[in-house]
Amino acid sequence: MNAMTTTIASDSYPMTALQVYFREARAELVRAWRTPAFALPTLLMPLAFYCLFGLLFAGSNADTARDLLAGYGILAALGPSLFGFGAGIAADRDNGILALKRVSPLPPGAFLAARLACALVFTLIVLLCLYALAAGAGGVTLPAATWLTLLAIQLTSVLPFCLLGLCIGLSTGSSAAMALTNIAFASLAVLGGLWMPLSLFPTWLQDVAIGLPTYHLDCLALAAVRGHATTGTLVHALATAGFIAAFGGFAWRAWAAATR
Amino acid sequence: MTTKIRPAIEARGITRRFGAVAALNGVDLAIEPGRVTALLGPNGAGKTTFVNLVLGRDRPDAGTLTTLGANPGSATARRGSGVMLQAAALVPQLTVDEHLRLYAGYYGAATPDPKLLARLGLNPLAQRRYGTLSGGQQRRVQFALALCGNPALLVLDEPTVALDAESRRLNWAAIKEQAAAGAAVLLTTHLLEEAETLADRVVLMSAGRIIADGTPHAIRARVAEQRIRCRSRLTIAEIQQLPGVLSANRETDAVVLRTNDAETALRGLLALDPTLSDLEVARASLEDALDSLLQREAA
Repeated sequence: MNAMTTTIASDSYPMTALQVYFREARAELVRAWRTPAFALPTLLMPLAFYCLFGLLFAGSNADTARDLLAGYGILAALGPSLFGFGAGIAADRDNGILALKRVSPLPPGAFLAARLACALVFTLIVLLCLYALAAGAGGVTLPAATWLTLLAIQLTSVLPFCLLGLCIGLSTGSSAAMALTNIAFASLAVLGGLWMPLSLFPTWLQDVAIGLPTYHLDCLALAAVRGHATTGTLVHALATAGFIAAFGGFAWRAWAAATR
Repeated sequence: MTTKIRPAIEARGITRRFGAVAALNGVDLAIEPGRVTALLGPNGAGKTTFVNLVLGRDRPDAGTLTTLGANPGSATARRGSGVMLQAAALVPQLTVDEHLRLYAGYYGAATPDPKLLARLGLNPLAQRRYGTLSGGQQRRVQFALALCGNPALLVLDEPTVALDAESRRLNWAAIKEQAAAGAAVLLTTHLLEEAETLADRVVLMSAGRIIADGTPHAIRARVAEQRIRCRSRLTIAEIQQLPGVLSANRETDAVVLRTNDAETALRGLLALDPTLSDLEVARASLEDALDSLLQREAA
C-alpha cells in the first residue's frame, strides 16, 4: 500500500524532454552492456591490442607507447560507433523495434541521441583504461592539458564514425549492414594507420589513407601527444570537419528517406 | 444524438496506390471514441494500409486524414495514441518492467500505472527479460506498452495473432475496459470470433473499399442468411430450383443449402421430398454472412 502511494505520487510529476532523452540513453546503455557480443569486443579489443603492440612489442619504449596511444584511442571510438549505429540500427529496422519507437511519442532525436550517448560512454571507458595502461605500464607521461586535448580529440572522433554507421544502418538490411560494418571497421582501422604505422605499407597503399577519416584523426591525436602542431595539423582538422559534414549530409538524407 | 463527439480518426476519400494496385480506394471512415471498431477483411483488403496511414507511417495519395484532430504521425497524434503493430519486436535484453517504465516515460508519466501489469497478468514476469518470454507473453508486453500512456486512441493491428488462450482473454478484457473508459479502439482482424466478441462496430473491407459497416448483428441481419442441412433424395440441381434457395452443396451424405427465406425453402423441400430427414436450420455465422457479402461484391 505504501509503495503504491509513492508510485502514484511520483506519477503527478510530468517528465521533461531531458528526462526522456536521459532514460532512452540509459536503456540503450543497459541493452549494450547486456549484449556480450557487442560489449566484450568493443571494450577489450583495443585494450588487448594496445597491450600487445604498444606495451609488449614496443619493449618499454615510452615514445612508441605514447604514439600508439593516439591510434588505439581512435580505434576505441571506431568500434562502438560503427557497430552501434551501422549493424545496430539496421537490425532494429529489420525486427520492428524502430517502427514501434517511431509511432510512439518518443522524439526521433532521442533515439539517435541515445545511441550516440551509448557510443560515447563505451569509448570513454576504453579511453580511460587505455590512458591508465599507458601511464601505468607504458611509462607515458604527458602534461594534464595534453591528456585532456587527447581525450577531446578521441571522443570527438565518435561523431563522424556514428554518422558513417548511420548511413550504413539506414541504407541496407541487417545482414548486409553487418558485413558492410565489418568491412568499414577493418579498412578504416588498418588503412587509416590505427593498427600499425602506415610506414610499414607500400607507398600506394599509404596514399589511400588520405581519403580516410581515421588517418586524419590519428594525425590530430599524434600531434597532440607529441606536443607539436604544424600547418599540417590544420589540414587534418579541416579534413575531419569535412568528413563530419559529408557523413552528416548523407545520414540526414538516409534518415529522411527511411522515415518518410 | 444532439451531442457531436469529435471522431478520433477522420478519413475522407482516402486512396493509396502501390503501383497499379489501389490498396485503399476512396475510403471514408470516422472512428468514434468509447467504442471498439474492428476492421475486418481478408488479407490484402487494405486494413494494414489504413492503419499505417492513421499512424503516419505512410501517406495517402488522395483524400484527407486526421488522427486525434492532428496530422497522422505528428507529436500530438503520437502522444494520444497507443499502438500495437503486427510485426513488432522489443529489445530482448531489457526486462518487462524496464520496457514499461521507458514507454510510460514517452507518454510523460514518470512511472507506469501499477495496475496495468496486474490487469494483463504480467506481474510475475516483470523482472524477466523480454527475450526469455514466450510468444504470447511477448505480445502481452507489447499490448501493455500500447496501453501504458492511457491513450485516447488505441490502434491494434491483428492483436491476437500468436496469442495463447489466457493472453487472449486478458487482452480482450483490457481492450473493452479501455473503450469503456472513453478511448477509441481501432483493431484489424481477420478473425470473426474476435470481431464478434470485441467490437461494437464492424467495418468490412475488401480490395481497398468498405463494403459493409455496422454492428456485428446488423452485418449478419443485412444478409439475413440461414443455413439448412438435411438428408434428401433430391439432386442439387433440383434443390437449386426451389424458391428462396441461394445455393446448395452436397457435404458427405447431407445437403447444405443457403437461403434468405428459410420458411419458403423448407415448404418446397418438404413438398418434393417427404422422406427428408436429419433437418437442421441455423442462422448463418458472421463468417458465412461476410463470405456472402464478399461474393456478391466480387460478382
